Amino acid sequence: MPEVLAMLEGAGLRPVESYYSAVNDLTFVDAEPEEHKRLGSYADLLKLAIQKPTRLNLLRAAAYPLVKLVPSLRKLIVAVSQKYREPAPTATERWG
Amino acid sequence: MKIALIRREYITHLDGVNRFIALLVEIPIYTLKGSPCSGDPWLRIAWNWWWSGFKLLHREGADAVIVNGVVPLKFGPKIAVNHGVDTLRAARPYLYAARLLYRTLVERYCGRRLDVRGADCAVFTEVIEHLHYYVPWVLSEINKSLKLGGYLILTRRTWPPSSGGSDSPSAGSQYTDTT
Repeated sequence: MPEVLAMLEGAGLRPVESYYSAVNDLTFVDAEPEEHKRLGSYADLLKLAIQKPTRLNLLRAAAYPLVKLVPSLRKLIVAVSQKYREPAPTATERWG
Repeated sequence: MKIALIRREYITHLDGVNRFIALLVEIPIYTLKGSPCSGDPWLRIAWNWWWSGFKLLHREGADAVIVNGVVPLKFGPKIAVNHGVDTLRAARPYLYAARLLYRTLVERYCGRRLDVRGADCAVFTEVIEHLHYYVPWVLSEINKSLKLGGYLILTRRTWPPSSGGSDSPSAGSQYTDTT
């Protein structure tokens, strides 16, 4: 997370909000298209794991409480930033 | 105005942009088919979009469509989005196909320099991890596209971490403030 925020700051974008999102932890599962549309909570994930107990679904259902407790274990970083200055190229000496 | 975001492949293969918009913001999701295609489904996917895609869009009253990639779609106006910089560099026939298929499109952003200025918001989701170089350059291009005070919504997977090379995101930007 600090790396992403530093990268944005360096590009003239001031971070205003950042967090770890559990969206990807909930959606990377073995499900049919219609089942994917119904996945919105841990209860849905548990139902899916019971109905379709593949290795991925079971592991995801087991890991989800852990990633909810420890945000840095989640699969996605979300950062909202605001532009506060224009970027301009500068000369960088690489082989000096 | 009703804008439809379409993903040409399975909903199980949602990419970052679609996942972010479809799942973080609550909008209705429709699928062309109830089950995924089996085998090598590219021709079938193209046929499904050609035959059934425009019917779905007309039924739902869409005014414009944002297409991720290229699909044969009898609908207009369209905006094609393709962030595959390396893919497009290697596959020129893909560009010709895109031009042929999107004769009625409004604008096409094909991983090239964006000719957009004064935008209120930009969405850049799950792309950085695919760029192994020039990340500061890409971010500065997005910066140029935004108006002062405009917002960038960025997402990045926590894994894999950046390689830490000289052009990696952690290496800092080569663009600095002019003041």
